[in-house]
This record gives sequence, structure tokens and C-alpha cells, in this order.
Amino acid sequence: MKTDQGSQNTEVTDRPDRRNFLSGAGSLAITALGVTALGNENINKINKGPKELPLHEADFYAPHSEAG
Amino acid sequence: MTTVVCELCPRYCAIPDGGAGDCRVRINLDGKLIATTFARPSSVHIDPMEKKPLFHFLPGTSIFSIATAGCNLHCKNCQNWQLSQHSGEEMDTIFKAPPELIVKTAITQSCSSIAYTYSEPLIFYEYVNETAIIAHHRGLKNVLVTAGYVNETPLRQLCKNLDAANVDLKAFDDNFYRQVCGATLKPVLDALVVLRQEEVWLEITNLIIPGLNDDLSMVRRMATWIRDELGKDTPLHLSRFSPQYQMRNIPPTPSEALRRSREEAMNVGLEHVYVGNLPGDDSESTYCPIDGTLLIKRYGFTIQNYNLLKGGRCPTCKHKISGVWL
Repeated sequence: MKTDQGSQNTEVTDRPDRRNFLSGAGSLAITALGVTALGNENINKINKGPKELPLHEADFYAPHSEAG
Repeated sequence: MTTVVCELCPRYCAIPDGGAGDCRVRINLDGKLIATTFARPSSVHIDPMEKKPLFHFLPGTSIFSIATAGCNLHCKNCQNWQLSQHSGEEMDTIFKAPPELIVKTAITQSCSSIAYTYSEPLIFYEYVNETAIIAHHRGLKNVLVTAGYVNETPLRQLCKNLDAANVDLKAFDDNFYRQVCGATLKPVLDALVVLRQEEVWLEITNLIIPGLNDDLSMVRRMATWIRDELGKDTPLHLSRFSPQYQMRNIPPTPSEALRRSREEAMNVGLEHVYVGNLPGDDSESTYCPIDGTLLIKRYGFTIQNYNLLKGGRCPTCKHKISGVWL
């Protein structure tokens, strides 16, 4: 189940080969437990445009010291 | 011109002004370390939980899954190298997705959890942490799918808002880590212990690559370590390799090799050892370790039959199966 924009970069998997038998598997698993099956079309409503975001300072770093 | 040292992972990259760490996505700008992929995922999907793979954590539910560019390992067999071995600005697709929007969209899509996955979520640590905090406040669970190459302090902090993790234990051999992944084994083992101590539900994946880490004695040592340090109830997924990236010269793992490895791990005493990437194989299913009752029958990511009682008990002997159940 992928929502790529036509780019190789978004065709991702968690484990090798599993992309080969993804189709429909998620919905069936959900149905087996009686939960309503989902669509994922709306994910694409997440807007592109990352340059509008401010830079985010990282945690866990320190100035380098020659003494190590 | 201040050089900074990133203390997130065992590499301790000393990063000069204007430079990036080994992961490509943490950069030094004027003496400040910047997490460049914060709120900038390049991959956003809804997956079945079984894809992570997590077989003992909310089975059959959907999980909202995100990833950014970058990784602090450089595995020659990486299946997501277009994502992991690039920096953020090299990606064709970058979403603007602050933590609040990720959580809101996950809820809108009826997902009960969020996975930080695909590449290496630990290198977009701040994004994971902030999203996970908001997700918990809104009643969602958080799942980390990781190689576990991280320092103890940041990992313990992150664990406060983690519910489950699948750690890719690449091999039980330091030389393999150095030669294939550009990393080392010990920090990964340490991370596994920390996750267990912090009571994050833990499953392990080991990709079996022919000729590199398929030696049965290595599988035995790995399974023994898991049994002794993490517990015999820790699920282990032995996955089939397929030729990828810089390792296209090695054939897929024969199914017999996977079954032998599984048998070896179970002989050591692990209760739940699964074979991955062999759809239709009996070893994809969950059995009671006490009486052998078939509890969850799977085909690939699909649950075909679910026989566990409420609370994860075997319907025959009432033994409680370790995990987080519906």
C-alpha cells in the first residue's frame, strides 16, 4: 500500500521482497478482525512545501573539544 | 567556525561548520546542530502492522508510517537506499508535515498507531520524539522500526513515548556489521537490552543472507543471546534476502536455509520464531508454545484466522502469549 507521487523515492518497504505481495493484504488483515477497511487517499493532503518550515535545532550535541 | 560533536549515535561525528554527519541529515550551521529533516518526511503510508513486522502487537490494525531521508548505517543490501542513502534535499518528494499534522492525519485515517520506519528513524530523532509525545496525548501508540545504532541516553529518553519496536539485528557478528553495514554490533545489542528494560514491546528481525550470515552456529549464538538477555518470549523474524542495491550478486535465501535457521533458534528455546518473505509458509503463523495450538494463521501480511482469547490467551490451555493484544 503506497501513496507515492510517481517517484522511486517513496516506494519503500519494511523488509525485502514484501512489496511483491502487498496488494490488499492490509485490508484483509483488518477485515479479519472486524475493523473497517481504510483508504489512504487523504494522506496526499499533507502539503508539500518544506522550505516554509523553520530550521529545527537537534538534541544531543556539544561543541567539539580537541581534548576529546 | 565551531565544530560540533553529534552525540546521538555511536559514531560521534565531529561536524565542522557547514558540514553534515555521517547520516547526511544532521548538519552544523554556525555552531548549531540542525535536524534538517524535522517535519520533512519523504515517505508517508498506511501499512498493516504485520509489515513492520510486528506479529505480537495489535495484530491486524493499520499503522500510519513515516520516514525521512538519511541513515547512519550504509548496508550494501539496503532495500530503501533511494531514501536512506540520500540527504533530505536530494529527495524528489518532501512533505511539509509537522508533528501535529502527522498525528491528526493518522487519527483521520483511523490508524491506532504511528510507525517511524523505512529508513532509520533514530537519525530524525527529534521529529520522532515530538510526534510521539503528541501521539500519546491523543491516545495513539508509537512504533520504532530501527537498526538500533544509537547511544543509550537518547534511546532511554525516546522510550518514554515508545510502545513497540522492531530492531533489525543484521547479524550476530561484528565483522559483518563492519563490512556490510559500516557499523558495529555491540551498540545494537546494548540498545536491545535498553528497549527491554524500558518495557517497550520488542520484536527482532534478522535478514538471512546466503554465505554471509546464514551459518547455523551464528543463528544459535544469536538465539541464545536473545533468550538469555531479552527473554525466550521475544519474537524473532528470520527474513528471506532478495538481491538489492550493492548486493545484487547474491541469490535469494533458499527456503530450506530459512527453515533450518528457524529450527535452530527454536531448539535453543525461543518460543516464537517466524520466517519472513515466504508467503504461505506455516512458520508465518503463531502457535502456543505450551500445546502447539494454532493461534493466528497468517498469509503474508494477512490474518486468515484469529483464535486468541481476549488478553492474548490460548483457547486450549489458557496460556498467556506475550505481546500487546486487542
